[in-house]
Amino acid sequence: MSMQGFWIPLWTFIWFAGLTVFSVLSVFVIILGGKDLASLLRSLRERHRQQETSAEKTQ
Amino acid sequence: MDQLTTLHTNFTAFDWAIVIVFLVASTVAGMWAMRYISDMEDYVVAGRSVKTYLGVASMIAAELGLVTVMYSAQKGFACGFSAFAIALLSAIAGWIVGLTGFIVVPLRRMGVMTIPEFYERRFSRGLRVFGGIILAASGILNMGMFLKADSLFITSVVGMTSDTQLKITMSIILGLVLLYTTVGGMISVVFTDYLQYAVMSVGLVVTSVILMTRFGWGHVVSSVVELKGDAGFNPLLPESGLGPVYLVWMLFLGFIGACVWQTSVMRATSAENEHVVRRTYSWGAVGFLIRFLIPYFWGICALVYMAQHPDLKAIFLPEGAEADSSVQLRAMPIALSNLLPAGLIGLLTAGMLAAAMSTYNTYLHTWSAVLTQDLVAPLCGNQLSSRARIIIARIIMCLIAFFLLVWGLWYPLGEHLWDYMAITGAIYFTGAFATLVGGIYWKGASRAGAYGAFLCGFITVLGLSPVQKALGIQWRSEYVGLGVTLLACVAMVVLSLLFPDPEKECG
Repeated sequence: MSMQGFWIPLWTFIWFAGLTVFSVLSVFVIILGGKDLASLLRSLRERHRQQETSAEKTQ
Repeated sequence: MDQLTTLHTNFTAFDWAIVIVFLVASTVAGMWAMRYISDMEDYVVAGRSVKTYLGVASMIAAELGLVTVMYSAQKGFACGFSAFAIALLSAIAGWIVGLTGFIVVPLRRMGVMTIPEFYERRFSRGLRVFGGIILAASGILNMGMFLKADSLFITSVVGMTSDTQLKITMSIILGLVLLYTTVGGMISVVFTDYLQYAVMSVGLVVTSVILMTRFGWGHVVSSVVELKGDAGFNPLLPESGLGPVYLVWMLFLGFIGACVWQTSVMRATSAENEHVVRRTYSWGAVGFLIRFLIPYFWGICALVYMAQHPDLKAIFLPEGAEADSSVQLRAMPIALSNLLPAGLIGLLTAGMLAAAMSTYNTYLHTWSAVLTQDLVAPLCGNQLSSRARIIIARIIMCLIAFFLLVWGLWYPLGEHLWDYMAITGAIYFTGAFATLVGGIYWKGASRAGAYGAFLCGFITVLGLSPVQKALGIQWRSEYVGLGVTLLACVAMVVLSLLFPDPEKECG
């Protein structure tokens, strides 16, 4: 088997597998990342509210 | 280069509209995030509340900069499919880091915000300041050429021929990034990275599919066989422009990019917990693969396109010699601006601007945070309030941005971009690798060993071509980089054994 006979199938597999996985991952990341982002903003808002409440109690 | 100014582009007013809408939306979103900042922890690590999918989006968006697309496309154009080996090695390195938690999990477990903070906890405050200065200087120098590479893409795609137009456009982009990054900190970075990831990932996939449809995979492969022979596929052949030692250097750079480079490590330190760190890196390995693979393929398609057009072939593939590096860098954007239809080229440019902006905001934020936390704050005896630290970080960010404009746009670069970037990065990471591995995994590692390892890093400047010319030497950058890494590890071990820390002697 020539060297090209080894490398061409390898790079063909890597390219199509990589592009497919990235496409699927991107869909997940866009949808679930959006949920994560909303959750992050919610938790920060909650933490700030708690900080304000504890500051008021201290005063 | 004069011949290039007359080339055709499909970029229309509609494409400009897409780009402008994206720029405005990104900036407004980044500034809106400022309402969530209340202290330095929010500002630097987004309150340590980043979960897996958002972490993956942020990491890929930050690491897939336009500069990466540019130098990778050039590699694909010059080396053909052999360049795919670099992408594969980078993904393997990222996946191993995710699987083992190598360096990143111990750092997250310690709860540090930056790598130099680890140096203080493990070694001394002096090493934190020293390491922070080297890290930031190396990183800022490394970033100094991003605008230059990005400007080549923008010029080629939109058909702008005036340098002044280009400089003004890039200055505006940097100004917008600066505006929302200084105001919103890490929350803005994560927030805008998410939006930019959405635009960028669609642009990358759609463009790749169109190129495959346009040329056909079989035709691309047969064209590379015709143009480059075995060297276009076998990365072990020296004629491919790579070779075994270069591949070892690339594997090492893959590890560095995943677990030693501060911009990646910020994702680990911002993560909600160790489990999220591991998952982010394991899935992020796909991003490490794709960030090189897609631009390599675009570069290969540009090669095929240029070979098909005699007028372009004369410029980009001259007989008996290789085209100038800056001409090669323009090959991919010029090919795309002719192959993609109006509308899509606007979407792609918006995606590429997204890639550039998410890299700029991450780097600006990272280096200003490092200088504030690891240089200014320790020098002030760690007495600074959270509010004072945020103000200092914002001032430093503006100074770095000013440097980038001067260095990247107005200063002429005298050597190849990738060599410049690898060597400026290596000034820091060769010593940092030895210090981090020794500090985390070896109880006997001492501050003398750490200082020695960092000092060894300076030897990598021998890899810069002006220094080599001055000294009359000609060493390949991979030999310099790997040699200095080995030397830094030896320095860490030998100096730690010779000069152990006082507490170790007592123990």
